[in-house]
Amino acid sequence: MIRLTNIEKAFGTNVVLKGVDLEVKEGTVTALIGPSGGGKSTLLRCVNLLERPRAGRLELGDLTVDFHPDRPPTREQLNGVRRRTGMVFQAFHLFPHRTALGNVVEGLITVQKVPRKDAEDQGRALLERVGLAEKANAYPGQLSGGQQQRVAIARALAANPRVMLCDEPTSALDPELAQEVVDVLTALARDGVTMIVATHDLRLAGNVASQVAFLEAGTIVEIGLPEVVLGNPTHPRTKAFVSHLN
Amino acid sequence: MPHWVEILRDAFVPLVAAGVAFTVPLALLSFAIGLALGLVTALARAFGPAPVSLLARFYVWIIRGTPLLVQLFLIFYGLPAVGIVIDAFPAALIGFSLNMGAYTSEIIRAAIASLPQGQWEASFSVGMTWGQALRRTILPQAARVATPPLANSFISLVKDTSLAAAITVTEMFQAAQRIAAANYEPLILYSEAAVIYLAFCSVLSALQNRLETRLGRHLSPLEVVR
Repeated sequence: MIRLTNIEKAFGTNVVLKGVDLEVKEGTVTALIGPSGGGKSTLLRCVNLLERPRAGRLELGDLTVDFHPDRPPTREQLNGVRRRTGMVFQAFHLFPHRTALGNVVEGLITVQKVPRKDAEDQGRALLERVGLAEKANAYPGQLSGGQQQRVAIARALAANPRVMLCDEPTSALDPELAQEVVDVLTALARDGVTMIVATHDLRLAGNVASQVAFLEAGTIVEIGLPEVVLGNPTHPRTKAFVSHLN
Repeated sequence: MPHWVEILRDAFVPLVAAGVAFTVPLALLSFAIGLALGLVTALARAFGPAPVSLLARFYVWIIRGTPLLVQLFLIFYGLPAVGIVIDAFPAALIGFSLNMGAYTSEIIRAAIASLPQGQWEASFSVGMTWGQALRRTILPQAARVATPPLANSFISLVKDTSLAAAITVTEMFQAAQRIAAANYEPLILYSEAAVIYLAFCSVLSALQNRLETRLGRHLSPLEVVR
């Protein structure tokens, strides 16, 4: 179980998350939708501690981290959280000086100290899984946007995380390239990879997710099955937002 | 054989010998030490706590704001007045290293700052610590950005080593001065010294090109600025 309880985050005096609760069952996909600036990205970044919440609790399976305004997480907690999470960024953020394979194995070799040979075997299998086995030796600059994002997905999967955090994974791509990324994420969902996906893409929110949360002004306004939140929402703000999605 | 060719020929070996014995080691050592000093200073300035950052700024301020020749004189002629006596070569080495450290620190700081924040975040997201991210992700990319301005500094340094002549280091320029003082042929001698400096710097330029190609091998041809 992935569970966030009463997560609060502020940048200076600007409170961007106002006590968010979210539960994600293992093997399911949760889509976060909502207007830009509503807190979707910040919430995802709080799950892998790229942002440090000022209050609340984060549970990632066997690991529990409680947040306090003046007590940063310990090194062990940070390592534990990072080992249990993988992140896919809107702008990919691949390491441009490493090949596709080099990107995927970087965490295994540098962080987990897996011997290079074993890491590369795992890395090739992961590239195979995202359909890029033949691009192992290509540098990111030689790949299309869709291919780069698939390498980034393989990189995030490398540590075998408990939850994949995808921050608008298709927003930087044209519809055609976005489709290859959607296909890969759909396949991962079918394989039972737990994911939280911030997205405006109905192919992800509507077809892949098992629950959808509408996040606005730092609060989850409505959460439920995709058919309900996207098809027949109850809250007026959700209604207004959803009516603008295609 | 014309007279001036004989002068060139007779001076060639002592000049190159002085270059190889003093100019080259002085330049190489001060660049290596200066680069290490520059990296530490850049990191201190960019990431250190306020007092450390301030100390780094102070060091850069002092070194950049005072003439190199004055610094060399202070170290070699000035410090003995307070009981610190340093031989000519180590004094020059200290002076040039401190100088390189200050200038290269600004180059390295700029190169690190030029990388997108996403590179740090991607490194953290795969579990790296700050130090691992710096070593594995940031510095290799910063090195490519920093190579042209660092090569600039290095080439300047090779020529600036001639200032060590003023604190009695028998490097190449001083060798030329001595020979010219004996045979009264300053035009020929200083021209020859200039050509040998040019040759040294040409080798460095060629090495710089090779290094840039190597560090930029992940870039598509369009991204490589020629």
